[in-house]
Amino acid sequence: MKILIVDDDIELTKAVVSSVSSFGHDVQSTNDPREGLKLIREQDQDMVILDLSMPEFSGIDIVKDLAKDGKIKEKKIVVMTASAVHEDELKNLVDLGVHSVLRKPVDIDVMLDKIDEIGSS
Amino acid sequence: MIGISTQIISIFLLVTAIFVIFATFSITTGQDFIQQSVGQSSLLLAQDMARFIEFGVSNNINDLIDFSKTDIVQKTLLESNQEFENLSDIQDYIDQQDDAWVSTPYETITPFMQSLISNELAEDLKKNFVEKINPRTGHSAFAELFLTNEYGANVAQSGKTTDYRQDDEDWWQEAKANGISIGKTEYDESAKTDIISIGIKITDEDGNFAGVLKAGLSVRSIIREAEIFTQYEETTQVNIITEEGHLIYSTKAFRFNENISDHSFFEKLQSGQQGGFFVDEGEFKKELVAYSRPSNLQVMGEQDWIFVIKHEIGEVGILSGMLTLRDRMIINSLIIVGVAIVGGIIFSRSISHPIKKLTYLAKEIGKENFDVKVNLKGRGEIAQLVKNMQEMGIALKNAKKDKDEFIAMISHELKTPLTPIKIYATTLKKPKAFGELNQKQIEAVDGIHFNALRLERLIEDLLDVQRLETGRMMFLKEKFSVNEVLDEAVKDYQIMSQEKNIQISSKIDGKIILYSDKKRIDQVLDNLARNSIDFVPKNTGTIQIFAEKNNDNVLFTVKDNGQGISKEAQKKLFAKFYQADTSVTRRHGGTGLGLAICKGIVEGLGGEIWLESEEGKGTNVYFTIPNSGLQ
Repeated sequence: MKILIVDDDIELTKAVVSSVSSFGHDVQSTNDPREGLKLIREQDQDMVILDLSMPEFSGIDIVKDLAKDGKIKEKKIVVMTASAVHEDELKNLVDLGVHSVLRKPVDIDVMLDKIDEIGSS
Repeated sequence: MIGISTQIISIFLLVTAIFVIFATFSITTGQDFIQQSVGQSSLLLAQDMARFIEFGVSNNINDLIDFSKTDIVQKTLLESNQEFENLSDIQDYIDQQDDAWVSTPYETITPFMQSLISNELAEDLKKNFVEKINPRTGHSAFAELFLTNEYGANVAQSGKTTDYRQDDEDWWQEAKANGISIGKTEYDESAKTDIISIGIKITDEDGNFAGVLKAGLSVRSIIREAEIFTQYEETTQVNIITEEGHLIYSTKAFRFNENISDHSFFEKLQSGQQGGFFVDEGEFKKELVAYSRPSNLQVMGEQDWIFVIKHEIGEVGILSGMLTLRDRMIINSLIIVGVAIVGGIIFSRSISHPIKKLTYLAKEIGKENFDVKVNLKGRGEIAQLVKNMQEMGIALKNAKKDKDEFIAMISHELKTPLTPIKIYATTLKKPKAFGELNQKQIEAVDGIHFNALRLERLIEDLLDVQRLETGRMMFLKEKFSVNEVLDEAVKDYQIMSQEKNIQISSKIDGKIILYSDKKRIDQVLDNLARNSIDFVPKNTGTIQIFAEKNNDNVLFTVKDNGQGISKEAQKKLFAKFYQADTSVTRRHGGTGLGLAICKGIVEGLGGEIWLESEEGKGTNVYFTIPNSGLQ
């Protein structure tokens, strides 16, 4: 599977890339949300893992941007969130076309299950 | 504890009371002292009176004796006695003449009596004594005088006499026998004054008995003389009273011979003492009475006079100033007491009022109500203190906010690197990921993973405490099965309980559905169960988790047979960072926050948490979750 992970935490992305790619997936990552949006728009991925809380340009902004022209419908976007994001906001994101929500702190087993789930669909 | 107001007012009153008592004592003592000194000076006055009167009487007697030695007296008596010696029957002659004497003082004077009033010696008597006015007193000292020859017949007289013959009188015989006779004070009708009769034996040049001189000494004139020599105030009442209670003299209006023996003070005069003083509490007035008896009995013996000096205590006299002072003192004391009470109340209010505000302020700040405002006017030290305290509250609030934010920030930052650690460890444990690990490597990775989880839990606890303290703990309510919660809890601790070889079980009657925050209830049970696991003994430990419907609540119980908690420790157990046994920290790595978080969560969900424990037997922790949403 071709997976893109967008998160401002370098160490976290490195760990996720290292772990997930060891299971044979093609994992690409970026710590810059704007570059992330560009990659999502310009490239094809089977799955995007998107951190919601990033400074300046958040995952929510990316989702909203993708929803504007319906691009989001082509993507399987899984958002990662800490408790700071309100439930209503999450529900709103799902309505906009987000595939599902992963809770932070990231549990790699849960993430791998999610990857398998999307891969087999 | 006694309030500050009460204390201050009490002190005011105490000081006032001491002042009043002291003042009263001073006045009483002063009064006594003045009474004593007035008494003493009155006594001296009475003694002086007595002495001056004795002196006056003596002086006049000496004058009479001197007069008796004059030529005219001697010559007249010598002639009369010689004339009588020539008589055939002296006694018969005297009797005859006496019968012809008109005795009644108011009757016309017979020519015979007239010859005795107007002879040369009689003129001398009048001139030298009766008509001799003392310029000091304005009186003459003598009311009447007459002379008898050695046979008792009148020879010369200053005025009328009742008898011609005098040898039958006691005083005449006494004067003849003793040289002098001093009679009792009597009112003399003819002289219209009270007199002391004095008889003096007259002797010739050879010392033979020649006759008797009788003189009526005016009491009034002697007293007047004595009065001049003894100075006393207008308020001083001078009295001369006989032992029988007859008033001889008084500076107060009096009737002669008035009997005052029924007066209250008179009884006390009869002590037989030579002199003294006392306070006489009469029906209408209080008097200080000093008295003295005559000391020269040779002169005054017959008179049985008591010299009495009286001072009214009260309206008039020396003591009146003292009494006025006392009355003013009482009024002043009452005013002072009033002022002290009012002043005490005002003063204590001014102190206790701000202190009460301070107490309130301190209490509120203690309760972390840092924004509490207190209105206190004024610029005194206490107002400044209140102001400073409010500023301190604000500073504390900021400090607490800074601390909360700092802890929240630091906790979050600490958590961030934990996620990659956990990801690496989890991935490492999967053989398919980075390849097979040997046994040692697996144990190492397990260790890393376990401790990462442990650290994460500590940080979570810290964050929870912060959330509870700042009121930012979010509760997400959902409908869930309590049965499942208990089953999961037991399942979660199966591995840990197997390691320690202890029994962990749950029990629930029927199905209970609750609408509350499942995750948080899990967390509470998790905390309690972990505590129990830590404290139950190996091999024999048992932990039971119960849930039951109880009125409007669901009652959860976590029961263990651990070492129990002392009564002392139970009180503090729900406080932050408290551990009953600090050695446990090292063994189990707890933060001491667990029970504080449990309490915060349970109370946040509207329930209660408490425990029952007995040392050595075990602990039951109970908590309720309200089933307002129970379906």
